[in-house]
Amino acid sequence: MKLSFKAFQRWLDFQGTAEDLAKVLAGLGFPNDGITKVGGGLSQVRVGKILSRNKHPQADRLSLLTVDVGAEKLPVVCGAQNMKEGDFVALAPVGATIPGKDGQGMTMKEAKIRGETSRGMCCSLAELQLADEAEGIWILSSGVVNEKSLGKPVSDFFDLEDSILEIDVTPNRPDALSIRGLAREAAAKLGLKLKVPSLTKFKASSSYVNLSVESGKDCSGFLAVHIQNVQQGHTPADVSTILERMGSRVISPLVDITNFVMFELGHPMHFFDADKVDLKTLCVRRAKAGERLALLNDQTIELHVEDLVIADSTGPLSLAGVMGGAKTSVSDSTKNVLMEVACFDPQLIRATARRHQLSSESSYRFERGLTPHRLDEVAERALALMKEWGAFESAAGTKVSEKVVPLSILWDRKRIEAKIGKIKLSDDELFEMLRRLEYSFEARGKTTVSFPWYRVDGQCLEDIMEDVARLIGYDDLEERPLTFAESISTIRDLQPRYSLGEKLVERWTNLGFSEVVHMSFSDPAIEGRLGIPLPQPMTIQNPIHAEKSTLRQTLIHQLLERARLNLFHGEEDVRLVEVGPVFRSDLTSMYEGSPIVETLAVACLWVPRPDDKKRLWSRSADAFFEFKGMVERVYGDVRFKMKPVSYEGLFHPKRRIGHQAGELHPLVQKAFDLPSRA
Amino acid sequence: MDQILKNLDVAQSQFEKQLESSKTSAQIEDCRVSFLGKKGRISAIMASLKDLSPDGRKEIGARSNEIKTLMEARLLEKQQFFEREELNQKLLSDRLDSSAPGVYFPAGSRHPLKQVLNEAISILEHAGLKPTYGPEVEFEDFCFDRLNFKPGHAARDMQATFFMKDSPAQGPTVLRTHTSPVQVRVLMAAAKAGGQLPIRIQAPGRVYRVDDDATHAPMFHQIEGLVVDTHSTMGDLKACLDFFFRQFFNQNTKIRFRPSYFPFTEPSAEVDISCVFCSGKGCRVCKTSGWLEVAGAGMVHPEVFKACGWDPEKVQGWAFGMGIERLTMLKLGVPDLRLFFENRLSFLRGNLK
Repeated sequence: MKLSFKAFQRWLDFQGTAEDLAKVLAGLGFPNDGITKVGGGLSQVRVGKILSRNKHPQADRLSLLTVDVGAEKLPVVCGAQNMKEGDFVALAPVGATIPGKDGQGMTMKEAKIRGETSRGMCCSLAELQLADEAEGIWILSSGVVNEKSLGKPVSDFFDLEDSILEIDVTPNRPDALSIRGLAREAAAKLGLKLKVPSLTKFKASSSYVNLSVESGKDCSGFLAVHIQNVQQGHTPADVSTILERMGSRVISPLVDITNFVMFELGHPMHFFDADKVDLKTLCVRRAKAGERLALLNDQTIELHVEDLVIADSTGPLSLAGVMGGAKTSVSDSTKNVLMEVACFDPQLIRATARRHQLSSESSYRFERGLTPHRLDEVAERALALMKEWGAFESAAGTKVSEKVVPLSILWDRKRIEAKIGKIKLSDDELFEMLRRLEYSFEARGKTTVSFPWYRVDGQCLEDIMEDVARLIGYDDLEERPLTFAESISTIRDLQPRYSLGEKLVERWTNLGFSEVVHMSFSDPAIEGRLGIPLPQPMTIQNPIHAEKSTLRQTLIHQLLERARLNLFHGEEDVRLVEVGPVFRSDLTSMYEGSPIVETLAVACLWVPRPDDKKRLWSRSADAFFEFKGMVERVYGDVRFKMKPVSYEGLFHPKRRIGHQAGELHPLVQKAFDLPSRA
Repeated sequence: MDQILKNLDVAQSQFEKQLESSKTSAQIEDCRVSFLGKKGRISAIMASLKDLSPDGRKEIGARSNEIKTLMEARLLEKQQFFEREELNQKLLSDRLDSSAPGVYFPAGSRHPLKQVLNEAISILEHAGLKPTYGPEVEFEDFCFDRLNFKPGHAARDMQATFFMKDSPAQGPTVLRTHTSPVQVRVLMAAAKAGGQLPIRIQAPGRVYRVDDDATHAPMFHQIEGLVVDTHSTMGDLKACLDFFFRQFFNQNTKIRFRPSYFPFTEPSAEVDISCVFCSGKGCRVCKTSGWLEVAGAGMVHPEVFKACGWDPEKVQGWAFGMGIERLTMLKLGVPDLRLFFENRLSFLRGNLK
């Protein structure tokens, strides 16, 4: 998850740099993939005001602007369309250096564009590296800058410097896919207090909404809040910046609220245009066969009976937890809003997102699991923002939810210490630490511990153990010396078998052979070129390539292919050896109770350097006998108990060494495109 | 008698002169015949001994024997000198050009991955972990369910899986995504055998994931450790890995645990070692952090014990796993994963370290 350090500081008074925070979070199990610095080096960009906007005489899509930067008025040619006279802009005058879209830096020069002089550039957020992409130039909010600001650095008015931490969150911790979640973790470790965001209460029951939930397993909680006479207002600049830095786009105040609350609290929510929904028949149910739904992304999907939908009497309105529907979506003209804050079954959401190949920030969180305990808080936060950014007349909610109580178990310090080692802190000190993560304790004779309301992965004492260890710090756990004990194998001891394979390879390498490692994937057509009888191959359902769709039944074809490639790369005497598994149903598996037959095979291949045509170099003995000598040396003292496999067809009929070795049949040599005998 | 002694001295000095002037093996033979032959000078002198007194005979006899031995030695020495000279002359007349190229004999080599895998196996054997092997085509149940990967849980996405067609009646099969199903096999077999402890194994081998790009291969190697008894802690786990990495890299290697998540361990840890390129100072390879992530580890999850026939209240243990490709790249400085499977001889030959 992308975490804006600025946004994080809204939740916690963290004394330190973004790098310090990254260390604290990594120590708690949330490492990062890097920290990106943004918004630095903007001191050369000035506040300007567009005095006039005219069409460029030579180009339809360009405009001629006169921009007032206080001390002077500059002519600027601009390609954007989103500005008008009176707008405040971020102007990079001649000589200024800005980051540029690619972040490589660009310095402004006076330019003539289609015959018109331009003495600066109106920057977009992307050109200032404040957003990944931008439509048009950045119009500075007139609430922040005014006539007196003209010519001053933009950085005086917009606090733009920030660090973005790319945090890795493991799939068991969806609660940490939020600013509050990560702030809570850091606060617990550092002994700090979280700041409380503003909340706005709503009326407990709505006379407008009738809600039914088909299955409490599919949907363990659903809160519908009906909000009347909404004035949307506008998204404040600082919030837009945070949204963009956390990987979202600024769309409209209402949509921005759903995204912002999701980033803050980790719980996705959805807004419907209440006037487009039949509020009296609102329900959460599985889709019916044949139902269709037009989604927000302009795609219409055929629903599956395993998909969960929010519906009314007219049919499905949205794909629960994944994406809203187009028909009921909010727009600039939306007056009344129906807010949905719900909790859905992770497996259903995961299956739906996969089935329709729709992945969203919302489905990503739901499929990892959320709890239905604090739906009201999510709604209250959204209402507070609606009030701050705009206004509304009234809000009333209707809720259906399962009674879910966080699991509680017995506190067992002895068992905790038996697994993570002796702990120096007292029970009370440990409880105090865990309370900061919102664990709760009840002492009636024995102490019981309840998992925090937001945790989905709490099932046993070991989970508490991990939190204890995390808060103490893994580096500070009790050290122990290395101990040794003998173990007796209870499954078939295959060490001798593997050792023999290694020993044979070792011997071949002493004779100048190089060990190769091939993947087990194979193509039956290539194996067929060996001319030996092979049973049906084992097939992979979802191979990476069609030519890698089966498991190899022999190592030989891979060695032949590899030899050809090495010869192609200019090698003259190619000696290869490999030990590895083969998968052949006509053999005996070396593993007890393995699903299919697997056994270890050793194969080697020699493509000798052929005699030189000009007789500059020639082999004294026939290479066949040289190879025979090698085979005798490697296998002379080895006793095999396996029945020999038929290699009829692989070898030259007269030049064979036992059943398993010999000179390659000229037809096989040709089939594998080898230039000489092998 | 004095005359005889004098004659001997004269004979000796004349022998030296003649030997000195001999230039061929034949001349040396002449010299030998004229002094030591049956009719030679020394024989003649010896023949005159019969007229002397016993004491005189003794004295002269000793002296003449001494001279005779000396002469034989001198002749042999000279003879060998000539033989050497003559042989050298003959060898020098050989028309071979020794600067011509030698007959090619290729350098054989172990594959770098196998070299490192074998080394890892051997170090873990020293820590008392018995090498144990399991099949690569596994039951989905062994690969996931019994390791506490819940069906339909996002954790399964961490390991994109190859599924096999035509599975046997016992259940669907996959190409194992990690070596951990060996844990399941060992735990189940040991439970069936009456619960014998301790279990101390390592499981090296090939594993598969649906992934194919510059830093991921669809097949790669892992090595895994499992210890189960009644008392082993995270501290013992750390001690074992500490030993492993100090043996594998060098004595100054440090390790660090960080909290993490794996379905089959709880608590779980990500294992870092101090960067082997900059000794922890911070460089390009460790992205200036001074640490490299090399393994995953943790205490065996109670659900795994339950699923494999053990009572999690009675036993406990730890496990770890690491990727051999990564260890090989770090140890041998191999820059690109793909080199391992291209199997070019030019690459394979250059990895003996």
